[in-house]
Amino acid sequence: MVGPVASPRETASLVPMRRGAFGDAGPLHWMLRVACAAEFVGHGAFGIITKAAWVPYFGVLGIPPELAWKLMPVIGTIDITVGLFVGFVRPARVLLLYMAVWGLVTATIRPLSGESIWEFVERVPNWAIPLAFLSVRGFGRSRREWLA
Amino acid sequence: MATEQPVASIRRTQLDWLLRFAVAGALVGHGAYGAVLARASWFGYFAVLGFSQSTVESTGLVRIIGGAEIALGVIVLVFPAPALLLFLAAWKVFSELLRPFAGEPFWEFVERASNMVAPLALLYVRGWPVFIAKWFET
Repeated sequence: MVGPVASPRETASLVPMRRGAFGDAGPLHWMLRVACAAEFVGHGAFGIITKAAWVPYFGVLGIPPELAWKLMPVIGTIDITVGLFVGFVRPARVLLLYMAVWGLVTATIRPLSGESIWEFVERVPNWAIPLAFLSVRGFGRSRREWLA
Repeated sequence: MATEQPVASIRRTQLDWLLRFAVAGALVGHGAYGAVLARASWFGYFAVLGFSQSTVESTGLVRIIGGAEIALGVIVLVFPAPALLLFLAAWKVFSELLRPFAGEPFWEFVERASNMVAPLALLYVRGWPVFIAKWFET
């Protein structure tokens, strides 16, 4: 398997890339899995404890502050649940796709709410890492694979 | 001898570039907080290391460190040498750990796990060199 002892160029013609073989075992799988889980648990924690800075993000979608404060713990709970499931149960492909999309949405909403564009730039890993993990595991070819 | 399927090579290239952009974004974005936005929170980070605000202001440390991060982010995009990736992984963990020590919630550190893992993941994908000289090549 492609491992930590040779460059990709050196191993490209030697190791057959079976579907999922690159990722479903070993350090890369766990690095990406821990990153995805921690990212969502950390982000979700702010939803649970609520954060005033989040109110304008809801405003971008036309949601008033009173409703925003009520929705924060809901979003936080979903984030933490998804993070813990991916971390401790299994990194289902459909959840990794959700993480990538949600990471992109939440990163994009910051400059849309008036914050600096650099807030989006710094958060590229928030969607790129779940997407990378999905790429490593391989996109699902059936409903069963998407749930696995 | 088994040969790699073309689609696998494309996937590996896509993964490589995806992780490069992740690492670059984390560095450039964070560096911009200092060099471009001159965030006041950075004084807190320097204070953790023993630098007073007056020292930081007089030496321009915020812009220097921020500018260095931006430069390294651009460099890693085109020259992801293993030694650089290892350094950036350590740097990201170190710089993000300053947040809770500066009084920010610990979740700010946890939330940035992807920023800290990205350089390590890219290093693993590109291969952990055996020979010292290979650490400075791409």
